[in-house]
Amino acid sequence: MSEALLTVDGLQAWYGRAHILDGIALTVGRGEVVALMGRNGAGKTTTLKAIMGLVERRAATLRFDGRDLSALPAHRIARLGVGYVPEDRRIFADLTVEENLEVGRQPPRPGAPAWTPEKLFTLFPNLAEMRGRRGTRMSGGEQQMLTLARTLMGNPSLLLLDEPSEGLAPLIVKQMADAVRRLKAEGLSVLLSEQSLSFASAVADRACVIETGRLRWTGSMAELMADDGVRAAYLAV
Amino acid sequence: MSFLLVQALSGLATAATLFLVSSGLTIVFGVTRIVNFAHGSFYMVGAYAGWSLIERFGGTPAGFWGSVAAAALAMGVLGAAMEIGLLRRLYRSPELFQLLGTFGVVLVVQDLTAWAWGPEDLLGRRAPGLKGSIDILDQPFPLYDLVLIGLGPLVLGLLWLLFNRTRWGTLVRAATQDREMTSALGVDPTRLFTGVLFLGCALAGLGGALQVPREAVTLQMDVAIVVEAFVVVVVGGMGSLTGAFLASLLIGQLQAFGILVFPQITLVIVFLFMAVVLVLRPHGLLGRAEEVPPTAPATVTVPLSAGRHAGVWALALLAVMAAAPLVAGDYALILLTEVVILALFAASLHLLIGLGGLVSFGHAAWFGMGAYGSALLVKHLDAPMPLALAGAPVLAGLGALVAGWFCVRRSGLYFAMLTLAFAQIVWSIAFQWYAVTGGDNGILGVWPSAWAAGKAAYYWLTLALCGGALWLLRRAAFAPFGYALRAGRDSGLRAESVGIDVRRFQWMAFVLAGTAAGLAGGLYAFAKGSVFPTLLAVPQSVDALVMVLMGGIQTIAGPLAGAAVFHLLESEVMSMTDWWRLVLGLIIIALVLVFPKGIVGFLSGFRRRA
Repeated sequence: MSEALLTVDGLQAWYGRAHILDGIALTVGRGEVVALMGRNGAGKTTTLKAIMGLVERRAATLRFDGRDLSALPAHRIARLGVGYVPEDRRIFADLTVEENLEVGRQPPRPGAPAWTPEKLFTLFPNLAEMRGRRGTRMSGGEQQMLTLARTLMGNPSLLLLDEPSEGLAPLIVKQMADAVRRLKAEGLSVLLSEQSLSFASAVADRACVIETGRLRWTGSMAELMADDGVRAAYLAV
Repeated sequence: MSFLLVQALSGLATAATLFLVSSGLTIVFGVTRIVNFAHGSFYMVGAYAGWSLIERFGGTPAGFWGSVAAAALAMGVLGAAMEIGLLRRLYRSPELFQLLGTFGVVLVVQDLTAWAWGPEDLLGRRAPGLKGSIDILDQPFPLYDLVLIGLGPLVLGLLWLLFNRTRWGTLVRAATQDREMTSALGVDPTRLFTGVLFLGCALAGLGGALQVPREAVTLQMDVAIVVEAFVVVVVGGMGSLTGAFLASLLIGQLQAFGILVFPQITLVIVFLFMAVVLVLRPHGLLGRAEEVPPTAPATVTVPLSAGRHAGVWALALLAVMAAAPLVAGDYALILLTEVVILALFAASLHLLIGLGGLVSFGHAAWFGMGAYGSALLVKHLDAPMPLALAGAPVLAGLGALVAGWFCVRRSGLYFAMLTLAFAQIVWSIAFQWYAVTGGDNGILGVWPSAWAAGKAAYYWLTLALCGGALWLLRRAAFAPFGYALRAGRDSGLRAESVGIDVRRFQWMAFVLAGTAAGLAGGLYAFAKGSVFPTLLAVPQSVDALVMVLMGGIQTIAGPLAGAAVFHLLESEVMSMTDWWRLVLGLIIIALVLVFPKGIVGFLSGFRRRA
């Protein structure tokens, strides 16, 4: 088996003096969708942020596409082809839809699908109708679509997707799952954090379950769905 | 009628310069969230550099405008260098450090400019081709000013295009809203910020170079313009370009007509206007609520705690100091008297900053008001010293009562700007109201009563009064009043929700600090025998901040140590050189970068490690 696209080993992270992550290890293969599962506060968001270089203090072995990420700032990591979609959307509210996409634009890179605004508008038809609209005047679902589209403008080969279904109406959640499957079909690899088992099972190949900053279980999505014990121990609310 | 029109036009010309400078300030603030005190320095050096270039090449229109552009670009490069060397390290610091660090640059630049161009005012040549004036309704109006009037909207338009029609501008606007997200999208924020500083400082330099044909180039133009630009930016809404344009127009007219109506208090009008705007529209004319600067949390790593033997140590120190006249000579006693006075001044500011988290940039107002209060009582009412001394804290306290009502409505940078504005109001009254205050001649002959005229006697009096006031301030810090103040500092919302009226406590603290500073000012007046407007000026406020910072914000003893070290440094080291601004500026920058916890904080950290 060739080297995984993303390899994370012994990931530690701190906020101030609080030790948040303790030895997370996971891999994402090329073209694979991996779900990072766990309850609120388990450390899912911090894991994604730490990979992206957005946590002030971290330590890990982080390899992406043969490159060492552990000492790089966020913008260098992004330029290597890691796309980050935050959970709280964080669109630039004063900028129009097209301007938001412009901020995300990076040159195309080999081995990753290349995106243009037009191509993204076919993936997210809603956005096409509001190109000139400012972020302040968009619904939550539209904002979530825009955040994803904005990151895709960077032509990433790996997508870090933080809680894509959180706080969205069921219809939008379904659109979101469709979009993730389309992206996988285009050849993108995805690491997504998720609390919703149904969303994860609809899109993911494998799952990693974490709790209180430690990795508790890892296996295929099908195995997780079959394992009532793991689900009850780490996911049931 | 025609006279009024010309007056309005000259107001527009003033507004154009004001807009060029403040647009740079507001752009830099919008992106970096740093209020760049040194912005006026780029204006000043831009004027000096423009003067030199215009003297050499300005004989032809192409040479003149080329010189102006070159001066602006050179200031842009210097601004970028400042971003790389200093600002970059301050983005995550509390605003006090940002303001002080950039003020350090102001001092350094002042001395370097004096060294390069000499202390004399320089008169530049007029712009070739625009030397004459045209008649507007039979009144002559300079052609050059007409060009300036056109330049304002032109620059606004170009900036609008830059920010709305280019990729660079889009990225800057994105980074203004969410720096972290922008970098997660692959944009290098550091390079973006360097570019923004280039742009902002080039605009300041442009404004400066364009002034060369209009007025003398002087070493005082930096602080004068930056304070005006602060007002414009705050009135317009921090970070808003159109707001800055609108505010420039209003303030330009206010100055043009204010000088006709109240020639004595033109400076006051501008600051009063700002205070009124901020009370009516807290975020400025076109500012928005979400653009409140996210003030970096004051990093309170070590909570304030009463030292175990603090009382014993304080008494021992007091005893040693009281014994000083037995061994010290006159000069040493004068120095010690001043140290004790400044210690009270610094401690009163520390009450606001350390306990209240309120960074006042105009604390000299209350010190100076106390000093002037005493001096005026002596001069106009022939009051004896005890009465004049009693009047000092009363007058300062009343002033702080009024100003505090405005200031505590806002926090963070706006608070700093408001306090600065009030200090400038008081300063301009002292500076411009010749009949009462003597203007920049000050008031002389403020001597102590006969019984306190001896150096030792006055020293003991000072020690007793300041010691008492310091003891009261310390009591306040560890009383429920102090706890409420600190609760408001650490989390205003939580403090409100447990029933603390944060704003009222802050107001009380403001008055208390003003009163204490006023007492220090009164004592200072009698110690020196005279008062001058410099006691109320920005550098005096900065001195106090440096003392607090030197001593360390997180300790009660800090301001005392800071005042002692600072005053000795000032009178013993800096008086040996003509370049004291350079020395002081470098000290401030070093403090901000290397010793952010101050002397006492550094020592106790050292002790803890050992």
